[in-house]
Amino acid sequence: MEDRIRSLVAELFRDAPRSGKTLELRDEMEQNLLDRYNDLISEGHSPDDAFEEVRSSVGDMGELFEEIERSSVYERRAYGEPEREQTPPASETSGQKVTRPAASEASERDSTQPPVSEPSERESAQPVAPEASGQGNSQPTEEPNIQKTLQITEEPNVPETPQSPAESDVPEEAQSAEDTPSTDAAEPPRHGEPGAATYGAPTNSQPPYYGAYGAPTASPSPDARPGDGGTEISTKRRRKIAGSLNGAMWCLITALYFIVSFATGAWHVTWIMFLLGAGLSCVISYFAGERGSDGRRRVGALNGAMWCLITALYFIMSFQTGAWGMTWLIFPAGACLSSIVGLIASKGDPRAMWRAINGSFWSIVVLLYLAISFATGLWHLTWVIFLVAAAVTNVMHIFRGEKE
Amino acid sequence: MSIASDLIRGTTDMMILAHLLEGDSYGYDINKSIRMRTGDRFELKEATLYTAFRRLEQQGYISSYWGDEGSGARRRYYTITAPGRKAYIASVREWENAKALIDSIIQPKSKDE
Repeated sequence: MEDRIRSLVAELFRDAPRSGKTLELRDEMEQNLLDRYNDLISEGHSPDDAFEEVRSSVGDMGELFEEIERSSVYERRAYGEPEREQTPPASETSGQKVTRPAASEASERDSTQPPVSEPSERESAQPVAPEASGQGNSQPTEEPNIQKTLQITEEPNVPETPQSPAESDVPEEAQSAEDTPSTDAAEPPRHGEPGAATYGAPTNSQPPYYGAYGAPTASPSPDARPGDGGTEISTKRRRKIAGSLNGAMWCLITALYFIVSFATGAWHVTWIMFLLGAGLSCVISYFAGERGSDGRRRVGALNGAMWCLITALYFIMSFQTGAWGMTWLIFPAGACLSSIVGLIASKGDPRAMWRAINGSFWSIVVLLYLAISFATGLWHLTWVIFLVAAAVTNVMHIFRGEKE
Repeated sequence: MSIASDLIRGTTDMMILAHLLEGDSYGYDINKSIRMRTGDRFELKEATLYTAFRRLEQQGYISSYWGDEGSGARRRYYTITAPGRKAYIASVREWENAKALIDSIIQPKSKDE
């Protein structure tokens, strides 16, 4: 027969939104309906009667599914500061537009003051209560409860306002302090024993879990940083940053290229942006490189940046002046600069220093040749400068050999 | 009786909170208690009850946990929170104010009669 209840629940949840919350609700409802069914059977109802009564007790599931969907939207905010944000949906569903805001106002007010004023208001209301015919029965039993809760909330509420871990403690206090004189004394042991002992623990343990999750994730990382691979991490990090900077830069350059090109129509010039981008990229990798070990790489990066800049300059100057016959001279000038950079970079290494000197020397020779030739127009003579340069290089090698 | 049930519907949250003031409890137990207190004259529909649970939980007035009875039954228990207690006090006060207000409107008429 319990299978009938299970299939009833399955049918009820056929159109439910699919989520973990729905599954939980389904389990919860199934158990409660089974409890009800078993109670009815033990009261002497026939299985069919009991089933029908269970079925008729369900009500409108659509309203419930709506609430699930709505609560999943608010899910993460629910326990922080619930009153303000969530009162509106509550008032919508309960249809108590006046009641709810007032309730939230009261709960927003802190601890001691409102409860003090409440009893006086209530006292004035009390004389009316007994007059109100049939409902008089339930009120006298509830009134002491209200006053008790007032007393309870007055004291511990100030520290409790941040909520949570105190939750499970409060009912216990409530039971021991309040209920003993009242008629409810029979119920608390029933709730208290299984509730407080077995379930008190899980509710209490939730907040510490968050703390525990927070702690291990926070602690290993600081440990790792000062540890062995500190420089490795920083280099990797720097390279990562450089990589993402590069990516961002290229995206930006491409966007700029199209914007400027469409705006100016100078498509023949604007592509130079990519050259500048390549240069910038080299600059980025220069800064990303390690100072000690990555020395060569950094010089390479600087060189790359320089050549990109020179090429860009060449095109810009050429487009601007139209003197394509002259502007190419920037390349030998660049070679000269490149050698100087190499010379500066090769601080301790004699071979690299010689290579750089050689490079700069020949660049200067080429530049001289071109300058003199252009100036004098004696192209048929000026080439001799290369011969002289070769002679000088040989002499330099002699000196170098002596030194070594 | 439909008027009475309409009147009562707005107080579902207050009823649940009132029951939870006595201790942690689960859906069927709460509904059974309401039925017994009212002498079988009133009980909440299951859907209404769980909707109220979800709403109250979302508002932070109650919290829930799964109990393990050991008999195979797995029930979801609810606990009232400190804000829930405040909300309960406020709603009881409002209920009494509203009742006094309605009484003051209704009584002269009944005296005249």
